[in-house]
Amino acid sequence: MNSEKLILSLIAIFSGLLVAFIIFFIYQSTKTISPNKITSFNIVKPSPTPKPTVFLTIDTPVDQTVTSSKSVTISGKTSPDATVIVNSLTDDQVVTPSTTGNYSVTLTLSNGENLITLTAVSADGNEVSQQITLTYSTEDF
Amino acid sequence: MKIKNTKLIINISIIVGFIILGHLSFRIGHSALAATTPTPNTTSTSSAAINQQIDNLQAKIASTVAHLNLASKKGFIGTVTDSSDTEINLTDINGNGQAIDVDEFTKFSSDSNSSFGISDIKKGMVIGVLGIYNKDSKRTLARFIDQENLPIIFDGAVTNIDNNNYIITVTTDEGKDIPVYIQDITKTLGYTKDGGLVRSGFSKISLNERVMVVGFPNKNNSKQILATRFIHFPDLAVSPKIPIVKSTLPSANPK
Repeated sequence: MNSEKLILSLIAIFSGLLVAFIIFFIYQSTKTISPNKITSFNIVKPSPTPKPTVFLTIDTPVDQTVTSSKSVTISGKTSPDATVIVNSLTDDQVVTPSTTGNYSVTLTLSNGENLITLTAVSADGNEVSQQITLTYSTEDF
Repeated sequence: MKIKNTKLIINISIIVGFIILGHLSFRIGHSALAATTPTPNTTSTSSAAINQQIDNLQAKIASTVAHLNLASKKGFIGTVTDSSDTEINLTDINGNGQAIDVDEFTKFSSDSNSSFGISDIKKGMVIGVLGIYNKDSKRTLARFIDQENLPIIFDGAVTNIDNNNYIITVTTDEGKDIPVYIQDITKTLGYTKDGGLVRSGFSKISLNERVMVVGFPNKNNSKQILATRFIHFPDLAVSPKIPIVKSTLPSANPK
């Protein structure tokens, strides 16, 4: 008797939910919005970030290197059509990379910390720069 | 059939017997060998001492290797953000923070101040640091600290030439117009792909040319740069961000 009551109660609850859902669905589908409440807007697509036309990496030496050699060779990669301008505190050099983009330049360091600036300029005038500090020291510590 | 089975059993028994015998003889031989190799007491003592020495040496090597792996020489330039009697914090040229420890062995030097020391280091000052970097603590124990007077290095395009005052206006990518004074001592260079980097002069500099300037701010006119080196690149394209200017001036006078 109790189990029958329970089953009947469940059926009743389920039927009630079904009816409520159908009524809600019908109400939503027949609902109209007045035209003055509708606002149109355009989604502005963000303009894509321009792809850099030139890149520059320094493979060796690592930034903040301390060396006991006055002469240092800086090498790395850039765009094959780029021109690499190298400025140190006392010297300037300009090199063109190989067809694969590899470049190499030898500089003479001054005593102490040397700030080296490398700028790669592409054929269309775009540029990218990197700075490293190389220290020449023969001090033993 | 019976005979065949009997033969098989005999063969297997023989093989098993051989295996057992072989195993036993190996065990006996091995134990006999162990028994007949006496280890003198004195040798055992000396080998223990040697082992102890090896252990000590290994520990020392491991300690040295760990120290070498952990500490390395490092040199950098940066702008001081904070300083005390024993510590300096700065931002290096690539924008990274650096923590520096100073002790009684740290040497200080400055071109403008012979008695330059830790008390002279102030926020905003540019210094060069050479020391021992500890990878574990990420701190540098400074051995040498120098006050730096770095030149300004920038590039751009020539947008105006003042022939009378030897001032060239260089417009940068950021749209800044920087007046650059070409002094008598300015080293002027020109670069072409065919000719390479060669000596040049004020008269050879043209409007809309890409240039690279190395110099210092003029103490009398902070907006003006006194060029120490000036390189122009007739072959290289100017940045597309810099507008092309039309010439309104007569040709430059040779310097």
